[in-house]
Amino acid sequence: MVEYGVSVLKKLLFIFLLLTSLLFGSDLKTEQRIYNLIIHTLLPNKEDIKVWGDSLHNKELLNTIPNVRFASSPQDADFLLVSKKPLQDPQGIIFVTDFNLLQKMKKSAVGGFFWQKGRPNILFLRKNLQKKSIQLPESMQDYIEDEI
Amino acid sequence: MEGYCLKKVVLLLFLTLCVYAKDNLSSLLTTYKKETELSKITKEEAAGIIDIFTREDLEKMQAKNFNDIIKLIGGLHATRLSNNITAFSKPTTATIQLPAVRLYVNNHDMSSSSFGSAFLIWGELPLEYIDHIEVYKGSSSIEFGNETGSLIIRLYTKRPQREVGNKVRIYGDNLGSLNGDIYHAQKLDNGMSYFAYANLNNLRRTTYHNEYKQKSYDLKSDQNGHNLYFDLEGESWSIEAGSYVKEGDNLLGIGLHRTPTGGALNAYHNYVHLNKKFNYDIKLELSYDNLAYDRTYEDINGIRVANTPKLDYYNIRFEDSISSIVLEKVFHYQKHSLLLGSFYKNKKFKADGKYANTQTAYLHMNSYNNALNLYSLYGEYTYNYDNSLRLIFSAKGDFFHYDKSIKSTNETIFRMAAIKQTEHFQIKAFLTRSYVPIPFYKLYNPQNIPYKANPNLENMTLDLGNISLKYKNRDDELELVYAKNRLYNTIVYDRRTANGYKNSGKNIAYTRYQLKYTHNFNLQNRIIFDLYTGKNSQHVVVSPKYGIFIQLFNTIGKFDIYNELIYKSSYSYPVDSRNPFNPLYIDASFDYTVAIKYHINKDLSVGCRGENLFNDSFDQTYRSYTKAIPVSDQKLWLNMEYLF
Repeated sequence: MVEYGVSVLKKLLFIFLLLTSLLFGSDLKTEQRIYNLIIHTLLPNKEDIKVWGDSLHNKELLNTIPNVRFASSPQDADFLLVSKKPLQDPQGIIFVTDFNLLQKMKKSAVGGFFWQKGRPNILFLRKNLQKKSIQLPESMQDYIEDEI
Repeated sequence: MEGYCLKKVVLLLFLTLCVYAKDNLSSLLTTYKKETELSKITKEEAAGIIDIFTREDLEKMQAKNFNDIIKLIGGLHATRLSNNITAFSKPTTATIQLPAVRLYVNNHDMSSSSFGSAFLIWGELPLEYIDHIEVYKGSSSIEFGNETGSLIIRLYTKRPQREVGNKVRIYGDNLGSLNGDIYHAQKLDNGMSYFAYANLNNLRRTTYHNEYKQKSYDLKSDQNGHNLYFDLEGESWSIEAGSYVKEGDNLLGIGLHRTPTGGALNAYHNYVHLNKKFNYDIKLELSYDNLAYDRTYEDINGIRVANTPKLDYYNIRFEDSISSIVLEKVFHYQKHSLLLGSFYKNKKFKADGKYANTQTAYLHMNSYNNALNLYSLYGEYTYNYDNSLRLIFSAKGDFFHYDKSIKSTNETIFRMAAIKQTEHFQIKAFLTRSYVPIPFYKLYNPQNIPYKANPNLENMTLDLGNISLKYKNRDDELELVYAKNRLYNTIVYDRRTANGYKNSGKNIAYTRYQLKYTHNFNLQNRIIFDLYTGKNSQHVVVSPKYGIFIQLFNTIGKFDIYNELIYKSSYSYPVDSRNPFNPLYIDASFDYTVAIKYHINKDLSVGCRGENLFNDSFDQTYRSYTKAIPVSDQKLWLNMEYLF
């Protein structure tokens, strides 16, 4: 019974965090709102999310996301936003901002948000989601790809 | 029981959030795409009154070439001259001076030096490699660091960083036109990126006929050609190369009785353009153009040109080469900013002609050339009084030095602008003193064959005043524009004089009124109304006095639907110069276009576009031709686009 209660509380906490992030998101710019949604969807049960970015733009972007704080190094981060070059096996979830980089990191990156074919794209890689035991909501299944 | 209820509530909340998240991510992406449109980055509010055709607009319209766009420039009628060259008239006036309209692809000026206009070659420019189009009215060109023009049309190509991948587009129509576009874009590991584009076009148009002395003559305006473009970009530099080749028919030609029996236009334009940004807001541009315009007219019933007997064969080839360097530096200090710039252009011009009458064995050939060194210095000071008010003062000096015969001249441009922007209102006011540069062909031709030229012509001075008042809220935008132009010492053609063109000493004024209303139903559904009219100080009406167009953009599920209706009022035109009191009367026109595109998936779409569906488009009148010719054809296009 206690275990059941904890499980329910966890779910409620996730919903609360998601709602909070979406509500907070309304004051953010659209790009920030997109990352806000991605981060809190990929890390639904995490109360204290540590993030890391490899460029000034990425750092500024992550700095605006509610309920996250910066990690001191890539190894400590739960979520890494990568634009420049592949990282060597960090523990956290890697998300990239460039299609070519996603191709290079297709074994480790969970997904990417990038311009390709004249439009902005969001893409999650199924194998890497499974490796990290991440379940995306049904509504985001359209953004999951087996291959790139 | 409590646990069961809680579980249901949690599940319901989760499902709701899932649905919300789906809509949210999808709509966030749509919003993001809209917010990051390149036109939002490139547009220069201070450069004039702006009309923008965004990428989304062009895609929903299934726009194919430049002609699909220029007929939607508020305040102007897009038309074609008797030899099928794209031109513009203002409401009530005849076609305007072509050098007043300048066309740019990115920062590159596409104008030819012989004619001072880009529209002789680029009028039907294929658009698939273009991201968006900006039209600046009441401009001075100082903001764009180039030669002067009061109407500036800027086309921006697709950026390689955003296009990574490939696209193929194929489209054809019921008259037999068949066109294809392909492009490839890639980002390289060293930080560079490139965009390569190729187009093949074969445009079939309705053939009209002229009956003269019991014989029928075809009036054709088909054309074909290709367009190549390459752009290589680094962090602070880019190099672009373009090549456009076209062959086309002459429509009516220039014969005395408009009875063409042959002839064609063969033209090409190759260019390369280097942009480099340095530290401290310094910008350098280098460019080189080589273009040729080879026109042949054949008319068995005679062609009358200057200083020859009657001809039945006429060929002239103009070849230009243009080298250009532009250097600019911007200074910023607190509320002040100052742009200082200069450019130098070397324009070489060469003409070769062959004029004959095969029935009388007359033959004359000539060849002539000249060159212009054009130096320019310009500056623009901007004072940002506060976050809502900007005051701008600009000045420019253009110094013309020709190699032969034509006297050197110095011209100046002055401009004042004020832009007040609040949450809902924007007021823009521009006052400009400028000039209309004279193209080579009017200035230099030593033999005055086949046309007369006057090396002593003086540039026409131009005063422009423009005020725009705009109200904007989340869904609506209403803009009122009042513009007054005055052209001094106008150039007219007097065939009785040895040099034809002359400064008349007379002035012409023109007033334009425009009202534009846009309503956004939501991010993807929008309607635009544009109403315009004008009057000239000569009180003549030789083109429609009123123009209205409506554009409706819709997205419903996987369908993009576009509706366009262009109305132009009736007008009369004295087609027979010996009988000016018996003009040809042209009814009001309703040009209706529908385009429907179905997105099979994210990468593949098919569409159709029906043009001029009422078969009632704007009819253009011509001297010595007793009928009018529609500017647009009635057509049905089929279109397929594939991204991979």
